[in-house]
Amino acid sequence: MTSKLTDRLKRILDEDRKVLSPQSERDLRKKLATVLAQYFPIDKRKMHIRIVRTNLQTSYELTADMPIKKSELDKEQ
Amino acid sequence: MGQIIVFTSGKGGVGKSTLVANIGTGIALKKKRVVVIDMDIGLRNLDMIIGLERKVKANVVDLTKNLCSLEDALVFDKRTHNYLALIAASQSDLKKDVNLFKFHKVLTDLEDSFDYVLIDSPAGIEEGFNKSIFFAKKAIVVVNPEISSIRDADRVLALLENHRIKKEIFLLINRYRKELIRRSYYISAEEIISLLSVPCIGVISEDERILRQNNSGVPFVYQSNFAVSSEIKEVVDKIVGKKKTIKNNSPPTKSIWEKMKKNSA
Repeated sequence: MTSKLTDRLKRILDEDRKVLSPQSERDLRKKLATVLAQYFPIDKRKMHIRIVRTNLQTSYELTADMPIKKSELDKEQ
Repeated sequence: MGQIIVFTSGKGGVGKSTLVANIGTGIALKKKRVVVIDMDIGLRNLDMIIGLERKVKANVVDLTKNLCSLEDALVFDKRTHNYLALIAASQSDLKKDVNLFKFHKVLTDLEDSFDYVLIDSPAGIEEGFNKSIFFAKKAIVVVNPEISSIRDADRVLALLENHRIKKEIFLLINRYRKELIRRSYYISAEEIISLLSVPCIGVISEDERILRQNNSGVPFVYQSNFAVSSEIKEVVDKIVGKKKTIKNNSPPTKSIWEKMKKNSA
């Protein structure tokens, strides 16, 4: 229960600490996908990018989840 | 040179004024000169919690408008042998009525006369908050173990961290109820500190007797049998630390000293 509460709070804080506007985030995701797609078959729909204020000491952090389509990667290999 | 410490929170009702009243009294009981300033203009309460409301003749807005002298606005607390002083908020003015530059002059004068200047900031992050935090070198963010309070504290921390005047920032967790943490209704102190990544200066328990003390104008720190008094004293020890009293406990300025003598007569 506490962890559920803490998880909820973490999600709220992550959202509040976002630095980019939704439009900038969409632009960044699009550009990164274009570059990365030259090397990996990226699943663009599942891409997730965030720049957040992590805490007062380390300031900002970029996190990006970019799932690769395994079936297409296997085909290429 | 005194130390200016602002108590803030973002969210209202977390117990800032109660903590300022009790920490201020606790510092005074250690024979350090301390002045508490109520910056909640229009919603004055600190004077009542300390029990000095009947002695207030002028307020912080009068001071910044040059309508009274510092000696007129300072109200000394005899119970602390006048080591505690209060500058009340105005009940009829607005937050915009405090001139920031004149407030700076007031703080500079107080820094020369007191070891500690504690500012009780209003809730919110607007004008009153900005004026309260502006000149402080140390900020104590009061937070309750509930998600709305922690979320607002996170916002306040970001504002404090990015302020043009660098501040040492601490958390003070208030209204802590261990049984509710055990029943998973609240966020634990460890988790709050970890999520906000700010050093914590103390954890103060919830105690329903605090309400009675606030209503009677006797800060609970006087009640040595309250566990919560010991928790406040621990915070006081951390604030005071090994800091020496200014001018070796000699009178701060003649005029303020005269006022103190007058009040104790």
